[in-house]
Parts: sequence; C-alpha cells; structure tokens
Amino acid sequence: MKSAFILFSLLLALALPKVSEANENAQQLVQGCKELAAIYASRDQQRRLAAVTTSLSEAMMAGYCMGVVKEYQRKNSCEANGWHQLASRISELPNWYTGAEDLDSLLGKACGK
Amino acid sequence: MANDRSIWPEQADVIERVLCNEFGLTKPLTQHGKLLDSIKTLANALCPTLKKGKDDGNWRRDPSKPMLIELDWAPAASTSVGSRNRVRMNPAHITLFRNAILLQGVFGEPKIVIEFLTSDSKRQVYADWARQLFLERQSLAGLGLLRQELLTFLELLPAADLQTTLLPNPFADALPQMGLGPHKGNLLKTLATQTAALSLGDGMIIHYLNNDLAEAHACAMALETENPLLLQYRALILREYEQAKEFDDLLDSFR
Repeated sequence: MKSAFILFSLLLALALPKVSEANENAQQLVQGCKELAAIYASRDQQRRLAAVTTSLSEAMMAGYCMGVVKEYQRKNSCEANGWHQLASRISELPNWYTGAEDLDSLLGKACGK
Repeated sequence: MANDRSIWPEQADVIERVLCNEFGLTKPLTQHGKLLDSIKTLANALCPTLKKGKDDGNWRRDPSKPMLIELDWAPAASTSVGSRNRVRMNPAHITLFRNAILLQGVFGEPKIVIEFLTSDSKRQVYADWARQLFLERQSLAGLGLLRQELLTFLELLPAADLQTTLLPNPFADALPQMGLGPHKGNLLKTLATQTAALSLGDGMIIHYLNNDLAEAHACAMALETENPLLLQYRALILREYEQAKEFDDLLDSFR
C-alpha cells in the first residue's frame, strides 16, 4: 500500500512539471501574440514609430509568437490565412481557455480543429 | 583748452590706458594685434576724414559723416620726413571712445556703433536686441550665470549719456575684437546664431523627451551647432531614429 502510494506520487510528480510547462508555453504564446497585435496596431497608426512604444521584452515575445505560428503553419493545415490571422486568433483566446492547454492543442483549436 | 591740440594725449597712450588699466588686459599690447587693428578702425570711423592728406599733415574732416571723437594727425615737428604721424585724441572724448570700444565688442561693426551713437531710435533697437540675446538665453543647454557687469551694461545701454557715463566692461578677460573663439569678432551675430541653434536644440530635446522621435529627428537634421551637449543629444536621436526606422521596415517585411 505504502509503496504503491509512493510510486503513484512519484509518477504524479514527474508528470506535473510537463503539464505546467505546457501551460507556461501556452500562456507565453498567447501573451506574445497579444504583443504582436499591439506592435502592428502601433505601426499602422499614422506618425508613429512603433519602436518608440515597444520595449525589448515585448518585441521578443512578439517574435516568439510569430516564430511558433509560422512553424505550425508550415507543418499543419490551418483554417486561418497567414500567420497574422492565426496570431490574432490566438491573442483573442480568453484566459480561462488557455489555462490547461498545451501548445499543440492550443494551436489546433485556433486553427479550427 | 581743447584747441591746443599739441597737449592732447596720443591715441596710442589712450588705448593703452583704456585696455590695460581699465579693461585689465596684459601688456605688451602688441600681442593683441587683431584687437589693436579693430580699435584703430573704430577710431578712424568715429573721426572720418577725407582720404587724402593724413600723411602730410593736410588732412580734413569729412563733413558728410558725423564726427564723434576728435583726432588730430599733426606730424611731430622733431621727427624726420617719412616717420609715422602721431595721432592725438581730444581728452574730452576719451570716455566716449572707451564706451565705443565696448560697443564694438558687442555689435561687431564700427558702422553699428556709429548708428548707435547718432540715432536715438536705432540705439533703442540695438539695445533691445542686445538685451534680448543676452538675457533670453535661458535654455536647456544652459549658459551659466550672467555677470553683474553684463546686467549693468545692458541696463545703461538704451539711455545713458555715453560721453560721461562709464559703461562697465561686460567681458571678463578677452574683448571680442581679439577674434578668439568662433565668433571672429562679431559677438552678437554669433550669439544670434547660437540662440537660433539653441532654440532648435531645445525643441529637439523637448520632442525627444515627449517620445516624439520623428519630430526630434527633424530638428536634429536641421541643427548645426558646436555645443557639446546638443551634439550628444543629436547623435543619440539620430541613432534611435535609425533603429526605429529599421524596426518599422522589419515589421513591414514580415507582412
């Protein structure tokens, strides 16, 4: 009984980091895609230089989103047209939705699967 | 009496007294060649003569121009033919001459000094211009405190009787006529140029602090200056603008 219990908790301990890591990645992706949308909104405003209102961290997060999205679209079919649309969809996902997702299923859902 | 011109002091002595004793310049005065040339030009402008005749003692006043100081080019009797004339100056006009030197330092040209001394309306305009340039220089680039002498000088400029009132010397160690520094003797013109540059420089910095990088860049491109602080900001703004432009281009390339 005791050893089974210990074994079970060990397994759980091993599995948990992977789940939370997936959560972090998903959250980062959503955050990054939000930054990406903000940067392009800034760019499209007249008389604005996007760099002035974008911090280094924001730019890097946006770059992460763009990279993940482009790579996913290279390997998978997707409802969204172009990386910009897919990134917008991801950025518009509500917070509770992405709570327990990993990247693959998150991207899949944003692609309409 | 002033009519007895032989007892008038020599111009060279007057100049030495004014420059060394009153303005504190160091001897020998021959080291300040540019200054002496400027002052001689000024003296000749203040006592205009017809071109011929100075060297042989037959000089005549130019009646078409105002005479503000009296000079006399009588040759010294005991010198041999061909030696230089000694120029003498009416002692009653020494104060005016001294003030004129300071005015020349500020305004640069003897012509302006003469206008200053002969026309009240122009004098007011010139005095206002000088006050504005000197006093309105409160800027981000900073210019330090103004000396009391300069403030008094500017106060006396419009209306004081320059034949009798001694203008305080606003220049610390060197008169602008010496030609030291970037102004090459024309202090007010340089100040005006500097003030224009400072206003542009201030605008540039203010835009930058307001995150208006595009406007700051426009000012930076138009700015020409030697002010080290402004140059630093200018370089910084140009660099940031280039990077911001690169970022925008990058964003466009990804679309």
